[in-house]
Amino acid sequence: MPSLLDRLHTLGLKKAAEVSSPRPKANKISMVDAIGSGAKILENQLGNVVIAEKSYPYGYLHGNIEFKDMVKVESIHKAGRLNSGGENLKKMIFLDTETTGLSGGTGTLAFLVGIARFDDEGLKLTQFLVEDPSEEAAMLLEFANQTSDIEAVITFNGKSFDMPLLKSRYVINRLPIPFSEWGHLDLLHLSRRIWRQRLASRSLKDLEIEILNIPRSDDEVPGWMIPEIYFNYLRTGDASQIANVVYHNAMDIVSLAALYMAITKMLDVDLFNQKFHSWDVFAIGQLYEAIGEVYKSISIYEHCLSLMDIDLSKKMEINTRLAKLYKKASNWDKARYLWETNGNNGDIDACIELAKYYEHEQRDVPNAFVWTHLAEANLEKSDIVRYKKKVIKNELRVRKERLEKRMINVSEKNS
Amino acid sequence: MNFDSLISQLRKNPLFRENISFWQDQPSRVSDLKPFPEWLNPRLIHSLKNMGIKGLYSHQADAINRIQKGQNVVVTTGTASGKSICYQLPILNQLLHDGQSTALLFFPTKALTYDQLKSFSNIVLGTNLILDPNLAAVYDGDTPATQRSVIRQHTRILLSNPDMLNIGILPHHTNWAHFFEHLKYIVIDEIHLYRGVFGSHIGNLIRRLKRVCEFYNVSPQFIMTSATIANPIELAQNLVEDNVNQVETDGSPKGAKSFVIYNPPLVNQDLGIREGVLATSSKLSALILYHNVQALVFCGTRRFVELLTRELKGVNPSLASTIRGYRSGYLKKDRREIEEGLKNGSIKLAVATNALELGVDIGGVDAVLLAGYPGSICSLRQRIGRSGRSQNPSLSILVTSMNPLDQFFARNPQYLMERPLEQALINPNNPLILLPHIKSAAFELPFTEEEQFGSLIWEELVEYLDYLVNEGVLQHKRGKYYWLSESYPSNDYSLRSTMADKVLIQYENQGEAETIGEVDYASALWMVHPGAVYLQDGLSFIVKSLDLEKNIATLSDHRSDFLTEPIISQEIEPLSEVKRMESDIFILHYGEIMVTSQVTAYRRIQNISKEVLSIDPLEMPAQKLQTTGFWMELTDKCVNKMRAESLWLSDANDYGRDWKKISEAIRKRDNYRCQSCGRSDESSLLHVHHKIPFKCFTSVEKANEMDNLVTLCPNCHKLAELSIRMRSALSGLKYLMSNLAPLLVLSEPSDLGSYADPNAKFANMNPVILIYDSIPAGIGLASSLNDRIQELLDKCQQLVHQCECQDGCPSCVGPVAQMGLGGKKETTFLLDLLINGGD
Repeated sequence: MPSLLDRLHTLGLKKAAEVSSPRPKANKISMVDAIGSGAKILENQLGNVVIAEKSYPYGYLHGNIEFKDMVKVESIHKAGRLNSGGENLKKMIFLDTETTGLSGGTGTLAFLVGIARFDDEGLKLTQFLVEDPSEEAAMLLEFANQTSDIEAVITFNGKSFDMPLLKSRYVINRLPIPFSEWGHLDLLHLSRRIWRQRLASRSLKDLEIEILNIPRSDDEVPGWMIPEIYFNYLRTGDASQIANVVYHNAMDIVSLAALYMAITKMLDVDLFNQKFHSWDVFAIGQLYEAIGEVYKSISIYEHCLSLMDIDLSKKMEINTRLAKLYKKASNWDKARYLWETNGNNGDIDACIELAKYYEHEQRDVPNAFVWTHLAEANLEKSDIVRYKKKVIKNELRVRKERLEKRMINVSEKNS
Repeated sequence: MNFDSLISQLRKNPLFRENISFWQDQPSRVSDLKPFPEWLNPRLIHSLKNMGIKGLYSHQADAINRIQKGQNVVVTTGTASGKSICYQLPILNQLLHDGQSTALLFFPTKALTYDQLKSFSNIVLGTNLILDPNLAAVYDGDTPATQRSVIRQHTRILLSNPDMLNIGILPHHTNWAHFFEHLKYIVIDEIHLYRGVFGSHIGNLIRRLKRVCEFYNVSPQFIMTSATIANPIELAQNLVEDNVNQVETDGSPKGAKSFVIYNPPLVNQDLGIREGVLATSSKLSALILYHNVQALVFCGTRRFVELLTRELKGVNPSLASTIRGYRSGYLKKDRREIEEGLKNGSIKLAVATNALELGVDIGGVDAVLLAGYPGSICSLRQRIGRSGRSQNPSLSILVTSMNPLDQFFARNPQYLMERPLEQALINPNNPLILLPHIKSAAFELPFTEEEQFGSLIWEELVEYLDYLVNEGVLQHKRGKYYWLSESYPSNDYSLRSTMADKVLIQYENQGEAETIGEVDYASALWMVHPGAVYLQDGLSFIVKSLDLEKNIATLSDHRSDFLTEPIISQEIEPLSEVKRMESDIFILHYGEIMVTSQVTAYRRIQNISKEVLSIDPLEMPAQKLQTTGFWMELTDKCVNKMRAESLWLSDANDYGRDWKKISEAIRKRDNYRCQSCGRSDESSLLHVHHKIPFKCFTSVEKANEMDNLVTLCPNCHKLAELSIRMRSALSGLKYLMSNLAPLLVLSEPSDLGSYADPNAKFANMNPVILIYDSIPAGIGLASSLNDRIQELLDKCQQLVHQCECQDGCPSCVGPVAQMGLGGKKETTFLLDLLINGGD
């Protein structure tokens, strides 16, 4: 009887790319030995779990961010739409997992779950590792035990990746899910909103470089290699490479905490006395606007306009937002001024706003007519797509005709 | 002008009457109505009554009673008999009993899924029992991401398709934990479509589904429906690997139905050429239109739909707007409009492919015309089932083509009326289909030692697991096999094919390559070899190159009027013999074989005249196919009997005493030059070829006349010999068997391969006919045919006896070859020997 391998190959199945299937090594280095200080094996009723711990005391500098106690977290939680569990930072954890793949699904497991929390001394990092897939349940149980007082979790892209994946692992191992009631602050979403315009990439790696000012060392293992390192460890029993993964994960979590600190600082310190990039200031103004703090956002926008490094197009963008806020507050003079600035610089919407303003607020038909006319002129010069142009053109024509009629009516009445 | 006048026109007008080979009037049938069973929830009964449903047809009552008892059920009643009720009621009843219960329904097509959602919603709304907008939902590739999590959490009745189950649901079962924990019923609609490769995949998919159910501690019941096939219980049991009971007796009412077989007249009796199906269908459609009877015309291909629609519109310009085509590829919006038009009567005639065969709700039409036999009886019945609006009388016409199968039914219509012979077969243990599902299953939940995968025992399963450990995707740790790989295995294969490679077909236009299609690797070798003319969507291309490293065939425009035809050499090697049956006339072997095919050359053929313009050699890699097949080896006794009657054309030739002299004279005449490729060579290396085969002559002298002889080099000689199709008893029977096989097993023509050899090396140089599965490792077609060989031979004999052609035609032993060779007499004699023995 030919082997299954032979049968499959005669049936036309192509040979898989030769996997470098390393043999088990004679001198096996265990996970605990590979990680070194701070690592230990812990036993619970479901088996063994490897734990690695490390502390970063208050005053520790990560890039240009200093870990501090007593930060005001209300604004970041509000801006990040954290709906529960954010009252006490010490009951929150930073979390990041290392997994056997990125595709998701029940066949992907998290062999390393790293968490960090602030306590009275500083940031304390705990990493839970699975030495053998059969001990996954022990790891999950240990994680649940050590986080029983936690109320919220902070992640980077955890909403769509880490947490659903962990949830799936608990279901597979028939264990209760410890975090179903936790709040969740995903810094990926918040970072996107803050740096969407200024940074081409908002990956944690790039934020570290651009925002935290900490380029990682070249010899660190890149993320895409991590699954293969774990598979190789399982095949050979040699965990020496795992130490690099543990380090990678630790750095991710510490950076996550630092990023949290950085955003907190941006939101809560006096923006006017700091040297922030004007675009960041603008983005923060928008965050405040989004969470309904209108006066704060107005003052930030106004401050932003006074910054040196701001260009015309950005200025016009801010003007538009500010004008909208002033209009809402019926502060017509300020709104009119901003619209005029923009309108004279070719902004069609501003001209239309002014036309509306003169027609409905001021009952000043001739002025409304002039701004409608200018809107048309601006439209001709602009490079917006043709079908849109057509729509606006039509609207403007209707407006102009109405205004013309009203002007004739008025002059008839007057004569 | 109406239905009755159409009927009388068909019956009386000799123009039509003479071509009608069968006319059957089925009387109308009253319904067999049963009261609602007592156990059914009184609120549900009350609501059904409010909707005007007074009771259940007998088969519906039978089905839901069986389901209530906990049985798995397959319902096989006719089209439009209300099969959906058979699963809708148990599901709703269960939901009224326990609001957490869930049901999974899967359907072979998207259109069907949405139709079922509508039907379910109607019942739910009509019964007004459960007010939850998410109660029933479709979950498929089109479901927006924003709705998916709501559906996962709230939906109780989930409608989906096998592909979504494979890729989206099972590998993410933890997201569906709540759904699975309360799963009561799994409904599989139209299981007759789950046959062959597709069915074998579905069998494995159900194994995975059951494995996941087991994880959540549930064992749901299966409710299935099927069109009429020979083996519905067997198929259902093979799919779900459990006991299944059949509900068969149809209790729904039917209007009177007339079924007519229209066999187009012979245009050339000797050659067996009939008037074409397209022309005939066009004529009959015009007749139906003239009588103002609403009709559906079914065609085999999309191209056919377009041709017929265009022709009908042209011939009936005043009705053009009421004539529409309908096929896949049309916009959804247009299709809905046509469906609506058929329902409200604004469309008089729709020309459709099988896209309208399944599910899609169009009410009923008064007449259905089938342009050619659709390939299987169950497909024929589903199409006919489209006729009959409420309980009005209706008409169905089958226009038969020249194909042997069509002509078989034209002469033996009783087979269309009786219980069909065709079996739906699957082979979930085909290694190429099984392997990817074991990967997916391991991804979904780790395998534990001693576990089974469906009916696959541990000893067999562990071979696959060990193989996957070696491949590096599984790791064996402490009694379990864990998926430890970054890949997502369900993305790597399609449920509709084996894992064979695909070749992309690209059209090159001004330096830019655009992919216009794909073929599997094996077919690429003969379909898109360099120089081949490739047809798609009525356009014709020529293959510039075939890159088998990158798996790309590059096409360019083709403007001349010729087609190409590959010349394929085949070698057969039996690997093992599993079964053997012997008589003194033939030995029937069944087992594993290796088929090595190689495209050695291709012919360029003038499109209209069919003249061979050239034969060009090719160097293509040999393709190996390991599969299952049976071969019929003829004994010496059999061959001698044929020889005695001078009916054996496969012997080696004796060219006569003077052959040496004659052939040398021909070489000299031809200047020692191959008359095909122009190569000149030593005399001893050049062959002399009979243009009209030697065997066709009664006298040696006539055969060896100078005009019939030509000098060829060995290579061109081989190609020339190959190009002449000797119709002998052997190839005639091969043609018959492979064409009539679909009578017994549901299959496409491409699912089976055949081979005939008068001197087979693998059978002691005896003559052999071989039929094999063209899917690697086989899916059981040849196996079933082997077991039913007598049945198959009987049908072949029946057809040849009934065919009125002179000496072979496309409808029996194959078309008369270029040289005027038939083979009908020989084949008939051989069949008699095989069936009745030599004495």
